[in-house]
Amino acid sequence: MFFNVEKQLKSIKKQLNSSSDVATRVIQTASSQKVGMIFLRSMINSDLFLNGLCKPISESDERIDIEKLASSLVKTGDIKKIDEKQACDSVINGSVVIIIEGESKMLAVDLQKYPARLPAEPPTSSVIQGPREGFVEDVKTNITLLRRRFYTKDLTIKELRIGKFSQTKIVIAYIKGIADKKVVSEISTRLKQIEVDGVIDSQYIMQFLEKRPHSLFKQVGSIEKPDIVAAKMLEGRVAIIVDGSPIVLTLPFLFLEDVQSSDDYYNSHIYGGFIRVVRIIAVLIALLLPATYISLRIFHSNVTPIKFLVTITNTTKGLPFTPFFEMIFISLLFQILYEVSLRLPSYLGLATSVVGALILGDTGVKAGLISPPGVIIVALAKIALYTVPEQAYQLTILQYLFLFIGGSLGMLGIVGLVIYLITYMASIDSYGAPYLAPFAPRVEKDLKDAILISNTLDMKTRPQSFKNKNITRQK
Amino acid sequence: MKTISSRQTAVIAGILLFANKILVLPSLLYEHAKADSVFILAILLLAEFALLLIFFRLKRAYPKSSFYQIISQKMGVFAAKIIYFLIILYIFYKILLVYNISYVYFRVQVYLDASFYIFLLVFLLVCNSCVMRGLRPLARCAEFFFFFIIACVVFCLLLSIANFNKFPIFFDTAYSDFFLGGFKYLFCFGDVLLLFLLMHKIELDKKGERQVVRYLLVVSALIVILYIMFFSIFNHTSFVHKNALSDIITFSYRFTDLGRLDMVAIVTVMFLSLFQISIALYVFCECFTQIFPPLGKVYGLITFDLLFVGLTLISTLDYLQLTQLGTLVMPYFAIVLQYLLPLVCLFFTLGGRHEKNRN
Repeated sequence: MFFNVEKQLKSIKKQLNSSSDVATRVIQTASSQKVGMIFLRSMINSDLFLNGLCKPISESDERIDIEKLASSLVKTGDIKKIDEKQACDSVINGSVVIIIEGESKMLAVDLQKYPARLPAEPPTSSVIQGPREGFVEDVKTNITLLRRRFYTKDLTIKELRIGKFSQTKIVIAYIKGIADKKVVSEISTRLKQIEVDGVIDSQYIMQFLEKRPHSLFKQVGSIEKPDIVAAKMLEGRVAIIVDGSPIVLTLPFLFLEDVQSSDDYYNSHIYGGFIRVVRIIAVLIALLLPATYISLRIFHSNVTPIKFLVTITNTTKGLPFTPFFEMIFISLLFQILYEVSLRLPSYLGLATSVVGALILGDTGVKAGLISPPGVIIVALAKIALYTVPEQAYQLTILQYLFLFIGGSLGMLGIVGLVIYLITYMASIDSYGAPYLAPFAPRVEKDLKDAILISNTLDMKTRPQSFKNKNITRQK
Repeated sequence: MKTISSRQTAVIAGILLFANKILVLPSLLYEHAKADSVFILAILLLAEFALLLIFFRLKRAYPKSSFYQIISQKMGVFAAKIIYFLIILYIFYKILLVYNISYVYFRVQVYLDASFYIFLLVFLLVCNSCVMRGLRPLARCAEFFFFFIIACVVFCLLLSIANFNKFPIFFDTAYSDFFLGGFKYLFCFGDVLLLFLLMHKIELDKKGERQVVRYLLVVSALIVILYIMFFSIFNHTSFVHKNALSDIITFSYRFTDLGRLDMVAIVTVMFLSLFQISIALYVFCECFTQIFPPLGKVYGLITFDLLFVGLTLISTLDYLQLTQLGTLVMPYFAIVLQYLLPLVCLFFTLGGRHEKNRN
């Protein structure tokens, strides 16, 4: 069946609900042949449309057929021959669909263009040394950022669409020959099973990929920098890029990953190991310090060192609140200030910090509502949380949980909660990788890059905490 | 079936070896055998290693079978059920003892005016949740903290050097007292028995066996050193000090400026007692499901909880009364279950066709 240009354009436009940004154009060539075009005005590159598409068509003085036109369009993007049924999807994806009078097939010419920002250093993963590029919202740019790091045919990119309405482009990237096939196929199966209205950000699909979606603990890696994703892919992990999100997901995920930073590898390995130890101490301070302090005050004043006890007694004399309520009050105050400073414009953020930290804290102490040790302990614990920013939200919840348990059950409760949490974490499995590896179970070879970092020359094998096709990293 | 690695087996065996031995036992033994208690300890620890060797042999002979399957196959189902019932009673007593020792210890050391229910709540919640998660997560958790626990014990021992007085006088006890002391407190030893009951969930090769022995050697050495330090520091007043690990550092004026360093011992005991009870409770549930196959782990837990809560609430037994009660009956249980039963199992591996040969 040969096309009637006007009729076809009308039919496709109708299928697109006659949206106001759907544009049609009919060009009559020098040989009086009609060529129709339909596209989304908001999704195409108009310069390219006029100069690369309209101009050669209108200037053609001989009869155009689909093959000839496809080979003459040199300035445009991908060109595909499509049938009537695919026309709508092509338009939605930013292609210009060309209907040529007397032809039975259509041409979809990719002229997609939309506003996108350039790669910049992500605010949560800034480094002193090392690459500063960060992922952006555009999936094509993100793939390019990865491709630039792997000039090999083994870098495999698989694409699929998820979302009933959003039809978001999801890309699975891995290195063939390193990533385990079973892991790749399990991830891809799980992704294909997702049935949602739309995927606006990578976080939307995160819970679908988690083995325990109701857990407090993060089970999928979320990374904003291509160098980190590349390093993880070289270890055998699989990356998932979601169109519209600057955060790339990686699997399998171990709890330890967020304690590691790319900075650790760009400095001396000795310093890198030292900083990791500091980070782990900070996490322990963040979780346990307020809870221990409160349990010492409520339950175990007899084991508190005398000098410390005297200081605390002097500074907490006459406080109207119970120790537990005092700590909760200061913690909530800090949390509110954090939320406010996050939402307010940056020029007001500083003022809020000053008002919050100095005026509220200082006045609270002077007014006898809160004690200086309480303020110091909460402030230290809250700041320490952000040494591992990727886990800050989970750690915040745990901090309150520990505070509550420390205040109601004392040290034994804290130890009990620690055992409960570690047992729980030890039961989590991330695509064949034990969540607490390489500590529980102990994977001797992976300890080289767990807390202390070995010299790069000594790291001859890939991590064995999760499945890898090829264990040898260097010879 | 989810199994545990040889390292995790070693860790579990190590934690069980500490059970009941680092707080009250030194002073109780001292009442009978004075400083010669160290020899009682050494002999009974050697017996643990002998049990361990029997365990390895049995495991090699029956790599896939459970202990219940072995004894029911060799002795009959009825005898196996009776033996398992006795084991359940024995384990229950041991859990009760560990709980009571820990309870009194925490009450004296850190919880001066806390409610009794706090302890019950924490122990039951943590141990029940650990058992529900399964042996593998529990073993991994123990593995995670094992070196921390060992480091804490070593730290306490190092600090105690400052209080070292003089070596205790050895060979100062009559044979009768020596053997009576050893016999009375037999039930504080022999926790390797629990490995027999978990054997079908353990993966063990030659290298793994050596690893288990290595770990147990380290733990045994630490316990022996603790006893020697304890008797050296307190000498004739040793029988008064019921919290050995804590007391060896608490009674030091040299460390008061640094603060209460016995917190290290307290936290260590917290970890150890929670792990010991969780592991024993897991084995309790395993035995329960063997006796009553249609009932699952949950029923085992419910039974334990009801019995445990009932007994701890109704009875006014403290650990000393429990120990005294134990010294009357439990040594016989210990001889039969901890020593005779493994010896009979050793006999099974010597004669007849076993699983390995059949394969």
